[in-house]
Amino acid sequence: MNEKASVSRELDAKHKKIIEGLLRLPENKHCADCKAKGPRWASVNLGIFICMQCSGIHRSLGVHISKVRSATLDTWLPEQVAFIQTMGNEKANNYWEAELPTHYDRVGIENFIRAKYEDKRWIPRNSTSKSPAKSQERSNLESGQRSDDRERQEPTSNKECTSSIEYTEVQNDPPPQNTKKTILPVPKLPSPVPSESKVQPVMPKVVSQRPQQPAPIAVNTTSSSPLKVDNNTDLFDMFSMEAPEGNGSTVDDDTSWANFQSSEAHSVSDEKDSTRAVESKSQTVLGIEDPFEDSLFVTPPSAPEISNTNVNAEDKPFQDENGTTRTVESKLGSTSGIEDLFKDTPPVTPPSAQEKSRTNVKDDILNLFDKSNMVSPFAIHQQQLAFLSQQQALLIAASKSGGIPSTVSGVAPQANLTNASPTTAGSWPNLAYQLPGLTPPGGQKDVNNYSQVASILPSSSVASPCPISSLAGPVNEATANEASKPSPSPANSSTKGSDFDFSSLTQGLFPKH
Amino acid sequence: MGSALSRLVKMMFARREMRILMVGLDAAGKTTILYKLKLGEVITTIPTIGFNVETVDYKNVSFTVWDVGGQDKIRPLWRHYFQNTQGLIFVVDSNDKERILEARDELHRMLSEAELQGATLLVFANKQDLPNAMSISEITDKLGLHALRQRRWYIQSACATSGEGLYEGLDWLSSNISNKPK
Repeated sequence: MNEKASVSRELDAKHKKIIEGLLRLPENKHCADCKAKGPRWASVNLGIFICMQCSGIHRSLGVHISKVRSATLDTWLPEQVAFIQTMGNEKANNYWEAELPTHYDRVGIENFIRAKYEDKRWIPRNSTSKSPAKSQERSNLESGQRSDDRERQEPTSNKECTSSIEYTEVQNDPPPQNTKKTILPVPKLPSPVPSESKVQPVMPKVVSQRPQQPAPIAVNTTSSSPLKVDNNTDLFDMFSMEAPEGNGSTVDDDTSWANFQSSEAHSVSDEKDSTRAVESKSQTVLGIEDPFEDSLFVTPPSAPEISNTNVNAEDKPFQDENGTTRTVESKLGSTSGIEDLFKDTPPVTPPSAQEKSRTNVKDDILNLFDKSNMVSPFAIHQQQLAFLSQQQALLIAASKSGGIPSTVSGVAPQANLTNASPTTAGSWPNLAYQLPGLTPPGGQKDVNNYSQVASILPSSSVASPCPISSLAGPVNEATANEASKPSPSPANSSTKGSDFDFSSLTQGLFPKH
Repeated sequence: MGSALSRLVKMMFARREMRILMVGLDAAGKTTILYKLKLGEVITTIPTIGFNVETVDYKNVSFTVWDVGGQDKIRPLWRHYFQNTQGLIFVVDSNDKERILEARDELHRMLSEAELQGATLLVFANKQDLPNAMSISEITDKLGLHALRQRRWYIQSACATSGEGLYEGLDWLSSNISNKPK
């Protein structure tokens, strides 16, 4: 029978509470794959929390690799909740990213996710030949003196590596003194950027963060899997799940990991042929896929428009939307790259641009170009802003003398705000103009979900949607998307926006410079 | 003579319009199907919270396809799209054996709605490319399609990423759809 039907409302409420609790754990506060803040989705068989973008990619892998559920919009089965309690982002990544190079560049998140879960490119290699290399890598990260210590400990850890086929984390546990030091720099110093880092201070402590870790000493001294099962069962007890079931399921999980691996080997190869085509296709599309994700939300407004007017008119706005998003994209290069930039560079570029531009615009522009070559679109954006500010100064001067009407000021900051985050809102200038009041200034991630859900209700309760309600939906979603980007840039840009009230006026003047 | 000719022309070029509702469990591939039909491309989707709607023109039929998010807790919203629906496309992930019964329950719950009594049913057994995909006959059994009475239904194996089967499904829909919605 349908298992979900057996989940009572009370049980569901209980699950929800547990999941909410898990999402508050520091290790789960960032997407397991792209590190975006505030994941609201999960892969229930991998036991990880992921963001919406990555959830889309996980779904494309197929349920034999990843089963995606929403933390809020899906009913979870008891065993799924139990499993994710025992796993979580850190533990899972200790396995899936064990061999991940420390500075791996995650640009092109789809490829990364496919490599990580489908090809299993970075799972621990248990052969003895590999693991020294691994610990070598670790020791490089530490001081020379400590690396000597590591060298001496290596044999023991190797033995454990070979004896247990499970998680690296098990292997990491044994050396009592050094564990923290070793784990800390280990598999994932964040790839390109220190600032978005894997929440470093948090990592080693997951164990202690779980409420009332039963026997912390045992963790350090003894080693290997039975212990892990103990931990799990204790965990289960704490969460008042039925102990026997929990016990069974964890054991199952361990073995299923092994099975999973072996069955994977052939299933992947089976699948290769078929997915190759798809993959290559998707790679060619890769450039435009992110805008498409946005354009999913673009389409509804266009379509209802059409359903009011008539069907034939429909093609055009849609195509146009795509056309614009495509060009935006091609200008910007890979979006994720830009996201990273937004995440990481704000301390560097935007403030500097903002502050310096007033004093010395030209130098600043040069600086921007010097700093990075791949940044160019962003730099150009900054350049534009710089120009705008310059022109603003001119305009202010002019308005002091002449008095320019500033009626547009309500709209202009909005436009700036959307421009400032090119990945999502950049392709939405029209929407932002149409309904400026609907874009929330900041972004609280909780609001996201609610606003998304809220956006369905009006549009769907009206069976044949009137344009306003359906418009409201997508716009909300657009803003939700925007808000879900962790970038501090909205905040920045909003201040910037208020500085550049006259941007729309200055548009025409622009070529003169 | 002239009128006959014009009638013939009208018959040949007249566009029929059909309102199609596409539903199914989450991650079945509804949005991918929709945009494969619309754009001919495979796009990377994100979970649909809300809906997508596109018109797909195929063989003088203009299909207005509503693709509604399938997450568990937003499925109650499907019924808001039932009105005037002529064709129902139910998308199933053929690879997801665990949830095929859940899919069956949702399907039958939906078909019992009065508003959908006149709608024809097309089932896409999607993701046939994946390993261990269930066969058409297995899915037919598990969905309990044979038990349907007074319902025109058809099950089509499909692979949204390659486009296989999608237009065959539309073919069937266009020739079997009820002409006048109730």
